[in-house]
Amino acid sequence: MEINAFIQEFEASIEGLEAGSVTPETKFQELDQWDSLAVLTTIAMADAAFEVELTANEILACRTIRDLADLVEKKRKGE
Amino acid sequence: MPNFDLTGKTVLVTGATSGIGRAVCSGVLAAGARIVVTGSNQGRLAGLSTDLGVERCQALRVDLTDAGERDALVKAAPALDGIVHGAGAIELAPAAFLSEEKLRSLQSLNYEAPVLLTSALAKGRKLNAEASVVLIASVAGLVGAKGHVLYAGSKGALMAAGRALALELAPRRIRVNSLAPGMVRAGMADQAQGALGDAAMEAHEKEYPLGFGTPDDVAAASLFLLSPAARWITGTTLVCDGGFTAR
Repeated sequence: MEINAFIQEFEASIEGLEAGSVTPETKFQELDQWDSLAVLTTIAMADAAFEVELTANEILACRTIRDLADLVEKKRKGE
Repeated sequence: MPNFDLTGKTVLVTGATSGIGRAVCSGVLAAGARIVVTGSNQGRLAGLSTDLGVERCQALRVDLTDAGERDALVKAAPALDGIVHGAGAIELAPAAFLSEEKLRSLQSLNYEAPVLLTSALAKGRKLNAEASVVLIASVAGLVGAKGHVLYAGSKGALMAAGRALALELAPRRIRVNSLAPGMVRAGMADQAQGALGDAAMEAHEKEYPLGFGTPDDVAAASLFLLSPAARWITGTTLVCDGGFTAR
């Protein structure tokens, strides 16, 4: 999975986030748009787009978008 | 004196192997009734029967979303003085990620099953006069919460149907009430914690003046609605939420 593919899905899913506003180094939990619904949305997006099941605690343990994309990739490979 | 005794009565509890269902079973037995319990998982049902360990308990494995299995349950059930519709599920998803499949499966278990089962029991003359029907709903059906579109819709529909059922069954003094619990420390809370995270759950509990509830708290409210003490209460919703919706 390309990190850009993950970023595209992330930007398209989180309410109020504009395309091109996120980079791999973005600390997503510091975004204005990040709240409890964004956590749920990330879980639903990972399931719909990458067929990966995430928990809220796993997401919240990540710092950057790259961490999050790595977590999804690891889970996708069944690691 | 108000009468909270259920001696000699028979009560059906669906979703009996869940946290709330289990607590209701123990409470109903302690109040003196016989119980018929249903669950969808044979192993958990067998475990429940062993734990309850009494002759006054009949366990039936039933998928309540299956019309044929519901019919079989109605045929197998003795005449009932009470029902606690405890079977239910939760699905948290943001509005942009709702699927027709998830909507239908939640609606089928949370709304259609209790309504159609009550209907079939009424038609099959399995509800004794003065029976009490308790629909386990949720505060999610009363106030909005992000991510709860599907769950809220199913529980709101259940409470609305309960009021109409109450009017139709009143001539035989059969009562129908909903019970709307807030967050209870049981399986569904674990599921919510997985979807929201530990920190969000801790913050959510602060919105409860009396903190989160326990399955026994909901069982106690169910017992009241089942008992003769509630003989003049029908078509309403008893909110059981530690003050969550009071603000």
